[in-house]
Amino acid sequence: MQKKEILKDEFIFETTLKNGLKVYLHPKRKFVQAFAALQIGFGGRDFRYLINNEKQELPKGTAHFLEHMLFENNGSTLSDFFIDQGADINAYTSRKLTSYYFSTRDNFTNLLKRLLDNFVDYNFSETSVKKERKIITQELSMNDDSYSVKAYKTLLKMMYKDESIYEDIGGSQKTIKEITIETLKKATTDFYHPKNMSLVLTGNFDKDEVIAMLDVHPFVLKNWHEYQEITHKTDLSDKSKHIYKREDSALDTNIVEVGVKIPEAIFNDKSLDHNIITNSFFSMIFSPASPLYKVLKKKKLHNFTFSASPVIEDDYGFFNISIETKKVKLFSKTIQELLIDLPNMKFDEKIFKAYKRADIGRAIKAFDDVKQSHSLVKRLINDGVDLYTFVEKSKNITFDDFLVYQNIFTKNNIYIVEYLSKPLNKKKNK
Amino acid sequence: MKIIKREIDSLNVYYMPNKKFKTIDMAFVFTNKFDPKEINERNFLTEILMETTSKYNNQEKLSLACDNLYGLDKTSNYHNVGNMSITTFMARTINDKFVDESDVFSASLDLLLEIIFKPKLFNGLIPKKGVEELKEQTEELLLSIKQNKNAYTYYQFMHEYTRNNRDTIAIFPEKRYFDDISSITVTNIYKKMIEEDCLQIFIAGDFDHDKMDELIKTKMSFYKAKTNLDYGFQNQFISDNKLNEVTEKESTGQSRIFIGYNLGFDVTKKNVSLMTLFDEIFGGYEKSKLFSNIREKLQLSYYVYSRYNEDNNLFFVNLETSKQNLKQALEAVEKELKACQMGEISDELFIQAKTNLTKRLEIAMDSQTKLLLHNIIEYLKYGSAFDLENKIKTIQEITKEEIVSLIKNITVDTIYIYTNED
Repeated sequence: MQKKEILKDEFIFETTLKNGLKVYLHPKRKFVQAFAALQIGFGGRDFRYLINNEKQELPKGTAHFLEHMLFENNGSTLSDFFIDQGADINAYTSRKLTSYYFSTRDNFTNLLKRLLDNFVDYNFSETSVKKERKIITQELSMNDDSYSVKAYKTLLKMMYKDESIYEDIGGSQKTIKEITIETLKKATTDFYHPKNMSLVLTGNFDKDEVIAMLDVHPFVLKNWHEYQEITHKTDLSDKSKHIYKREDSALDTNIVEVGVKIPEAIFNDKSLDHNIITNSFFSMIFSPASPLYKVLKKKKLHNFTFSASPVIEDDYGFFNISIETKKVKLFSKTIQELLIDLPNMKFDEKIFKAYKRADIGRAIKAFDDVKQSHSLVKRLINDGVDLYTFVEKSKNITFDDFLVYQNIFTKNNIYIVEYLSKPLNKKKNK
Repeated sequence: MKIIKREIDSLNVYYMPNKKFKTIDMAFVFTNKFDPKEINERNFLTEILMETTSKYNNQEKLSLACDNLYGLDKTSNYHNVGNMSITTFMARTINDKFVDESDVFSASLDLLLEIIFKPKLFNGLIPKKGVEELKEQTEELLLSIKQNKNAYTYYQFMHEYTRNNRDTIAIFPEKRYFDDISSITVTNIYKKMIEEDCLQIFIAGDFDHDKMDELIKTKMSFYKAKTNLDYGFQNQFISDNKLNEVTEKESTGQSRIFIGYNLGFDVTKKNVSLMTLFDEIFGGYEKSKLFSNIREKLQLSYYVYSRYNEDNNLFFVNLETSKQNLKQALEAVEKELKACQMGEISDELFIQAKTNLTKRLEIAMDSQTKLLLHNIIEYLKYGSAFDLENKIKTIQEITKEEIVSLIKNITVDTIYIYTNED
């Protein structure tokens, strides 16, 4: 087991178990809580994938469906054990992974043992499949009337041809009907292998006790089938339509979504640490100290709903800006002009220096909170960032590192979605 | 965690020492008697003061100053607890020990003082431009709430639920007085906050107390402390004892339901503990009455929960269901409440709820900011420190009979339904 320093007084112990599972232990003994997350490389994008260059298919939403089913595996309800022990357990599915996580004050090792018990064998009943299908149907319909979600999805659809980028992670009411016990079996065989998983532990636990438990756990000792590596092909080719407008009487305000695609060639340049640099770069150009922010403020194009963030996945990346505003036309025009003018914009070196100090502060503060440090470590692992150099790399970013991004803000890379409101009579009965 | 109370030139200052965290949290808390006419201005002040100061006269300069202090986190908040108005300004800064510098905390304190006591003024007034911009933004925010159907339904529900409590519960923006907001009214409330409110300072972290005394004495020498106003702390929800049922019909997917209750008991420390435990039993977690019956057994809703707000003695249930299941869902919630009132609470559920609450209290120890906030509220309401051990003991000693006796008079006050067109 390797012990490495991630920040002053913060150590991570890293090991790979006999079955191939990568484990990251980050003990913080002064804290009350401990967090565990078992992450599986199986997400919303995995309805089409390759094994040994052979095409494989699953109904859309299988990863999310399986996440629900794992709580009803082998005829027992996983959450019961955790709730009885006063622990919180939950799970989520993202585009590229499924994460099962719990937090507790006591009995960490025992709870972790129970969590892993659930991943040795898989056995689902028809009754559970039916029950979860009904629950997921309700979950999917929760976003049906969210125009913010619709606008964002439209933006993804405008920028990318590949369905795996814009399709709902949970699938649709139609696709989840196609999911059967056989589908779930195929999914567990292809994806639920220790070599396609990682385990991240943070907080108040005894690392030696945990390792001793892991070494003899059936999940580790089981004779696993040989893991076949999963690959994907994502179509990142450009699309011709750059502006989309839609009017809707159910909208009470206007929504604007802007996307700036990071071109494939830049995105695939392995010498660039997108996950480290883009966050700093984008936060800085939209920070209240920046000239771009000043213009937006002056024109009253910045309000509580404004947000700007980079979206960096394994296979693609873009910058996203969104706002709900009365001044749609002016916003779309101004933001486009400002972005295109970005390479000519003068960023004062003192803004950059102050921003870097703030970045150091943010990292220290993240480790001051057991939940935040757990999230940060997980995010870095999932993003493929080296845990032990990221602080140093962040410190060493220079202004020149940003220049590569400044030049991607061209008309060809910018996409805009406008959802516009139309008046409608509302009924209210009392 | 022990609390050390200091009186520095008549100013009440509370230290919460600990060596667990790498940061120092400080809070400047202004209290006064709640006045509904001030809700808008007090909320505006928490925004405007955080954007500029006399020295840092635009957002760019203030943002740079914060970034230079390792990203000083500054937050502000206004709310009321019963008839007490509370305006809080907080800052979280890196402890000097972790950055090998000697004046990060001192400079952070200076910046927080600058934000609170030296606002940017134009002809002696909070600038009109900022006030007008904020008015505009608030109006835009109200429109944007409508995009989030559940947030919108909650906002509408709260207005109906607190319809008889307009003068005792703050909901921002207070529409009755919104048009009257101006730089003059905002400035007047600012002056009132500085000149008439009672200020108490809370600081948590690893620092030398004597040095901190000196620092505060020097930096706060300009300030004349006021004695705490005794206006008889109370918070009582007023109900007209009539069911207020509102249905808003619009083209939407799922139907959203909020049910607000009239609790019918006095707010005492003991009753708050009992009700907090009942809230956990009724709709606080995955094995609660509501979750296990409405989601798991009847599969009527993806989520269902209850919330108790002890500040103003409010209690509500929220769920989302399809239009055809509305009636059944409402009946199911009513049935579960009646069952609890009849004493149908299993031992397993009762014990588990106690364990959950105990755990929640204990894990507050993992966040310095949470601990600070717990202590602030406890001091303001009861004049004592947040006593974790005693709180846990109180919860453990609660009996089922006490809960049943407390909840027997709970009745539905308001039902707000946001659903599809016919």
